[in-house]
Amino acid sequence: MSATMTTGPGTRPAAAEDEDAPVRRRPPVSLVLCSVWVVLVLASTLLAGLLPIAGYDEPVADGATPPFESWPEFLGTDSVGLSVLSRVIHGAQLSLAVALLGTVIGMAGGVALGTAAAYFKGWLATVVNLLSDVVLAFPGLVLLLAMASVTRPSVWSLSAMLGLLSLPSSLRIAYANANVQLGRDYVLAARALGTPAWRMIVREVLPNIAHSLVAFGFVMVATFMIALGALDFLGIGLPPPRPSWGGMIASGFDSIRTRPYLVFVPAAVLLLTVFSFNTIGDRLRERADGRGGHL
Amino acid sequence: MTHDEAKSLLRIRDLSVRIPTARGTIWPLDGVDLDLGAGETLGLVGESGSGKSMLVRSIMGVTPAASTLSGELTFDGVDLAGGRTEQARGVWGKRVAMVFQDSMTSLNPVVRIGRQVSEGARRHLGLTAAQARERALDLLDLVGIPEPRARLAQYPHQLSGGMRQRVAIAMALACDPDLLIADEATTALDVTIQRQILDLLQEIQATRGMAMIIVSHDLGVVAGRTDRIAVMYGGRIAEESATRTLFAEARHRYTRALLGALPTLDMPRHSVLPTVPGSAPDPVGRPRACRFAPRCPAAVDRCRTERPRLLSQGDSGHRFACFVPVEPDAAPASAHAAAVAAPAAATPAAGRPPRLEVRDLVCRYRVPGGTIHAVSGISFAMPPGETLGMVGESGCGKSSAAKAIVRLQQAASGSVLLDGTDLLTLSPREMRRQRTRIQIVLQDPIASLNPRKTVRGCVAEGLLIQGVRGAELAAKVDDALRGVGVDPDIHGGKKAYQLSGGQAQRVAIARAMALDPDVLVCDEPVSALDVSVQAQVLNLLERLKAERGLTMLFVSHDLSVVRNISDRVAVMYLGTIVELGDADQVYSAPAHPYTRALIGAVPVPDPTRDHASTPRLEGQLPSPLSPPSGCRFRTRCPMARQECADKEPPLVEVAPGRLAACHFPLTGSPEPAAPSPTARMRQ
Repeated sequence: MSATMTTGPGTRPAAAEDEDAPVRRRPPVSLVLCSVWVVLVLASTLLAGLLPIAGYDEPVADGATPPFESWPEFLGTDSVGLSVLSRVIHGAQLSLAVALLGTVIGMAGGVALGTAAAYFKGWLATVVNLLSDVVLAFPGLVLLLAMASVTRPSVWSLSAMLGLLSLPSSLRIAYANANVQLGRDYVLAARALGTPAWRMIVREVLPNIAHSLVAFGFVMVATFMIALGALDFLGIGLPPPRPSWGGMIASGFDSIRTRPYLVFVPAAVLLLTVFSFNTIGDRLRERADGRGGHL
Repeated sequence: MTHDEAKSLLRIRDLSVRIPTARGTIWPLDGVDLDLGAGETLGLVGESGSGKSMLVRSIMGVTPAASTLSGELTFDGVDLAGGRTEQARGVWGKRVAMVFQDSMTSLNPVVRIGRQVSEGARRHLGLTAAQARERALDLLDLVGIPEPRARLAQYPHQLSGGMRQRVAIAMALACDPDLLIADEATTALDVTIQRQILDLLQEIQATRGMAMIIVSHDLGVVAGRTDRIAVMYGGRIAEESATRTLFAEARHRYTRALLGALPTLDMPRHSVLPTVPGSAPDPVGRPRACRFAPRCPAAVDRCRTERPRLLSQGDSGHRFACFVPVEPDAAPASAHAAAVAAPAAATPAAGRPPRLEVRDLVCRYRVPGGTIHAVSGISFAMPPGETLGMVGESGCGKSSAAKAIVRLQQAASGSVLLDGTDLLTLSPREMRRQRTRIQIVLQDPIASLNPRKTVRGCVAEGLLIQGVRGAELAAKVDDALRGVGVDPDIHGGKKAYQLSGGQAQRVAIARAMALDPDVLVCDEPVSALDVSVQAQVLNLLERLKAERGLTMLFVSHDLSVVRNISDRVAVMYLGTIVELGDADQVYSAPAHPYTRALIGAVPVPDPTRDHASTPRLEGQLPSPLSPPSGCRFRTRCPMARQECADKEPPLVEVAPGRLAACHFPLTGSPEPAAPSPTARMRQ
């Protein structure tokens, strides 16, 4: 950088120098890869019926074949000749549906109660916080086990249960974030305009806490996928014949010495998916925290 | 440079700091030249973004991690620009020390005062624990902390803001520095405390003969307390000269504008302040042009294509970077303050029923440890078209009162009558209707706008709540924005953080004015703004008041601002109004001793003014948890007697139209003889 100031009147005015160029902030590679993976999983799950793959219950071989021996069953087949690829793709359908639905239920309830408690304070905040402490005191997995032993779990009952169990966490995030926003001057200014309660929550506060909530939603989806994997592995998840990743891991477990891919393929898919949702959630949270909810 | 370089303690040549950002490289410092001699006091003045803080941070070696320094920066021959070398570390903290603005964050909250004060001395001078303790005691005593021995074991949060700043100064002095830097060290303090701290710094500087740099945005703070002043703008030094020369014959256009935009205590009331158009320069890039050119009324082509160099004028040491300097014999800048605002609505109609009347308003909050009596029964009435200024130091309850009046805070008792309707008893629905008649403008303009909303969305909100929709809504929003000088087509779609402070405050005013209120409450509306922008907003409020016949309650800690904009002034102290009356009269002949001390503490941007002549208010504000009995001011009042402790003085008329709450008001009756020390009441 030459610091001389000997430019004459003929030079360009206000010329920015090369090194003044903006520093482009590229999204990190990990975030790009994770997003690609999530999109891939979601797309293949939604479009499973259109893909040129066998059904999850149609055998394509006489018995087990190792991966990379045929197309499109490049992930091999299991002991009864079912395509691992088909089962992994179809297996994602229900777990994703339950995880997403559970997240939506948990978030909707938690955000509604949390923001209302933060806004109205008083007895409502006391009751809501007490209830969330009560729910938190239940051991989640035990409760799920108990439910599974009484009724046959369905997509709806499982989603509702997971949503309920996760409600205190989303409630607390919403409550804490809304409390911060409610202390800001723009809320004071809105009150001076006579803003009614619902309008204050929906139009003033919610847009400013949405970042944090969405970020938390991604982490929640990941948590649910793990929980579902565990339930399926224990055989108390969604009942067959629909495949699930946890169930595939469990059934492959018997032959892990001879056919390890039957365990590793669904396990790797589960791991990648959970990791991706978590990473995206973390990145979103960093952005929300670092930029004070805007930009 | 014509400076005598041999004498120079601090030598800065072509110092630049650059920081790469997503928007481009910003240059907080862009080619700064500066010298400071031993024992010299320099005032470093500039608005936000001028680079004054970055300059002293560079001297202290605490620039942000992402920044790169270039140029020359030496202290007594030691290079300070080359990173954390052995020699540089011997200078920082030992020979150069700094006092920061916010002592709450610059002191470590979990370390005892004694340890913090002596830490530097232990590290740099190798003192033993016992010696360090003695040293800490001496230092606390030196900076005027009462009972220093007891303070050694205390933590920062146990001290008041003024006391904490004294501790910070003691810390800085621990190693007998040759240069003390005070970076906005009194900005967060009240004027009476600020006066104490500035006096302290000046005494210490004089007795130790050390050099000092006082960094401030406030020209009044540096006026009487420095040898030289450097004015910064956009990362460059615009002008530098001896203090008296700068105030008497500033040559740079920016300095002139800055001096002119400042409301002072001696200009006529309702003066239209000369403003600087626009706002602070974009820090991205380093244009080959004068940084001030886009805002300068005298700019010529050359100003936009060539960077003016900081050149000295003769051998006087007066340097300025301007191609079109003001002629030296032009009238002083402050004399340009010309026209008085249109008197149309300026004279409030006396005798008419009051538009806004406050009766016995009380606000309390419960906190751990007791109840804070924020407002303890204040009463006043405002006729239509009046501007009532409300002044006082922090904690006096002025802001609580303002918020309680518009029901943003719950009042414990009392009434607020808007044209006879008591706002405090209305149902939420009825109050919502009254909101179109009384509105508020808050202090921090950017924080008071929802960061997710556009400018138009913010202004529309109040109208939407009142049920205005469609084309009428759009038209009203755009009208409101134009009314405050914001072009809706350019700024209407922006978000709050894309606006400058001044623009944001205009939008906040537009939001209030869109409802066409009769009463506007302004809670410190300009205290977050730079001087050059503050004048724009004050003029805007004055114009809106004249155009719409607004009745305005103007709350501020800044006495000069209040005096300029107000018809009458109410002075508050610890939750009570101690004096109320015509602004000119209150300022020229205060009736209450507190008012007199408060006015005397205002830093005046006039280096010829003698600081020592006005009495200084000693001591701290008593705790609002347990205000003193009788007169609340008696613990700090130089004239307090037994009667003041026994009986609370009522707010009574001491002269026509003048109310004061004092047993011994200063007007009319002669001053009582100086009380004996025994008669002075302690809390």
